[in-house]
Amino acid sequence: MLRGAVTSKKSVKMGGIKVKSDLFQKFLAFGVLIVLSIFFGILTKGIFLKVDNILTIALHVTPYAILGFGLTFVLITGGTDLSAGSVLGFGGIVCAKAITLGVSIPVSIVLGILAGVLAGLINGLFVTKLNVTPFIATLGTQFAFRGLTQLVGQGKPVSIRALGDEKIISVFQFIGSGTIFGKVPFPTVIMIVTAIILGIILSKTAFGRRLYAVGSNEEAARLSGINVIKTKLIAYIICGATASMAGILLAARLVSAQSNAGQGYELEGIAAAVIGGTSVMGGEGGILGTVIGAFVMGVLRNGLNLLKVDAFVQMVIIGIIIVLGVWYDTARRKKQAESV
Amino acid sequence: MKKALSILLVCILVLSMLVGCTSGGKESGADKETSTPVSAGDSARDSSGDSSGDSKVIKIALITKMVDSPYWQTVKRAAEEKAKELGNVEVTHLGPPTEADIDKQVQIVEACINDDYDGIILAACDVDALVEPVKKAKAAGIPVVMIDSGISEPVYDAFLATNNVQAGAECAKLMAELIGGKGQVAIINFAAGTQTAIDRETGFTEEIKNNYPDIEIVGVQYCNSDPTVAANQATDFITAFPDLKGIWGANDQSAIGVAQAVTEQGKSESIMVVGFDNSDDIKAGLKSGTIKGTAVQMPTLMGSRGVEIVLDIINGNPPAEKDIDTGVTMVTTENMNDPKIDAILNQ
Repeated sequence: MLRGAVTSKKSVKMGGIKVKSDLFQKFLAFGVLIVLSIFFGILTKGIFLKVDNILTIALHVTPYAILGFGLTFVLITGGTDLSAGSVLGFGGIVCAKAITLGVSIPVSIVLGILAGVLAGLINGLFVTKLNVTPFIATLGTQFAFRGLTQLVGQGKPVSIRALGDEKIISVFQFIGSGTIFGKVPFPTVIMIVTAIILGIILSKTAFGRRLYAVGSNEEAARLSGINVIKTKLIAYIICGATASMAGILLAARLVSAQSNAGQGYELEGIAAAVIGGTSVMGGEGGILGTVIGAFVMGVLRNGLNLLKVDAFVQMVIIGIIIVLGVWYDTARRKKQAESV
Repeated sequence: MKKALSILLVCILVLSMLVGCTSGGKESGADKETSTPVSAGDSARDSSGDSSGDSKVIKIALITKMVDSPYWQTVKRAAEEKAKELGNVEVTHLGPPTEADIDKQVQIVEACINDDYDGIILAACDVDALVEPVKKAKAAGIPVVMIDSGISEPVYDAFLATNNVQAGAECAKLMAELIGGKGQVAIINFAAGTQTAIDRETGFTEEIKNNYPDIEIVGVQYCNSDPTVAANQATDFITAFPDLKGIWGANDQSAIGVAQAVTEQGKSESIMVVGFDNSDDIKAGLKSGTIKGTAVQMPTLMGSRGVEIVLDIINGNPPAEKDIDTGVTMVTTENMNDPKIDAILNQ
């Protein structure tokens, strides 16, 4: 009943209320980010606010943010992708393996992303065609893709450095940790460009609107003629593609693909999306929010590190922040539903 | 339509598995080409024929956690070389397909007891599951020497492994030497709550505390063996402590991440990085100078000493101490070109 009520309001007033609540959520997350930054800036006597440190944070949050973008798409459909971390590892190691086998870097990157697309397609087919709950389907593929990653790497890292080819090493390293426009990390530029493209797809295209419709009320979306299966399938494919992108960037940063890369990262990505206002219940969310969410996590980690907070205390604090984010989301939805 | 799609899905899955397997198959194929399985056992037999044949050939089963990995191939090579050197010893290398196949390893040990082996060298896949098989072997009068990974009850005759407390202390000594005995250092450990990690960290911090009063350990972070996380944590240490002199990465992945952070921050001259183990990436770091030194464990010693100790036990001279530290060798940018050290680094 409640869900129906929320949805009808949304489908009637696509523009008005939804956009307003999204904006408010983003504003809130952004506010938290600013408050945290000022807080850490004062406590670290300005070290935190130095340009170098801000750019460091930007480099650090990049893989989580990119992973979070794809997860945002899947979460909006009301699904989830627990295999994203494994797909990250898979994409990275396929790319690195291809390079070690003598394939050129651009082609290797394409192969890595294709591996992610294929993984996303498999997840999507499990969820849509075989009707397996996303949680269970992607929990299963989490193991399967990790296994494939280990197989490709034979349980060891695939080192590009060990090739000894300085040109390949320097190009690959630039992709992972090089800087342009002065000191801006190249991967962060990739993240921003990806964010803009995916943000436009989500907010300005018919596909984006269908995604929200499917996530709000699947049955209603189906009845109004939306191809639910196709829409969901594309969301999972995008998630696989962004996960493998993040994996390639991580492999490039270390000039070596780890077969355990990305373990647990899916939860970081989901946390970033949720803190940024994407609902785990589906139907709501956006890319900008996920960027902000990833930065909230990154700023917390960096700030707490600079303040020399004990590693175990940090885990407790970050855990509490995630719970607060989800609690706020649930409370707000309930309130919204009641106000209709 | 639905059926067609499910068939397609199955096809994709099978295909992706095949892709994974073939690339895996190629790798292991390459492994087999370079190492020569069984042949060393044959040559050991040949040489026993040469050496006047005063007594019967002593058959030793070397049972590792898996067979087809560079690490265990190194152990096997060392054991076979020692067997060849001794003349009347024959080593057979056995093991389950993967480290997770605990029950298979149990079966292998039991088969060896029923076979006519005179001694067993064993790296246990599981601390508990292998206790009973080892007891059985002992009851059958077969000496058992554990290497690398032990079992929860000390029913074996000897246990050869790296003493990680000692190894951590060695890293601390090298770090102290590199930074001139004073200044701030940070630790990136690979896991919280794992015994190996705890031991290494304890060894490092105790050594600094007891012998280097002018060195301050500014903090410990745990990267869960994720080099990217290690790199991020190391970068934050560098930002928080502008005078930082050194960072120790307590395993392979931690050290790789630390080296990356130091490179990114342009501090490879001023911040000393000490690592652990000898993966390809660590070797590359040593060559480029971003990693100044690393603690290399001695699988070769586990293989060769393992054979020697089995023989000692058969001859009635069991080792005085059951637990034997095979130690680590500190490989540094200074000594890495020494042929002896190079052999250890590339063992």
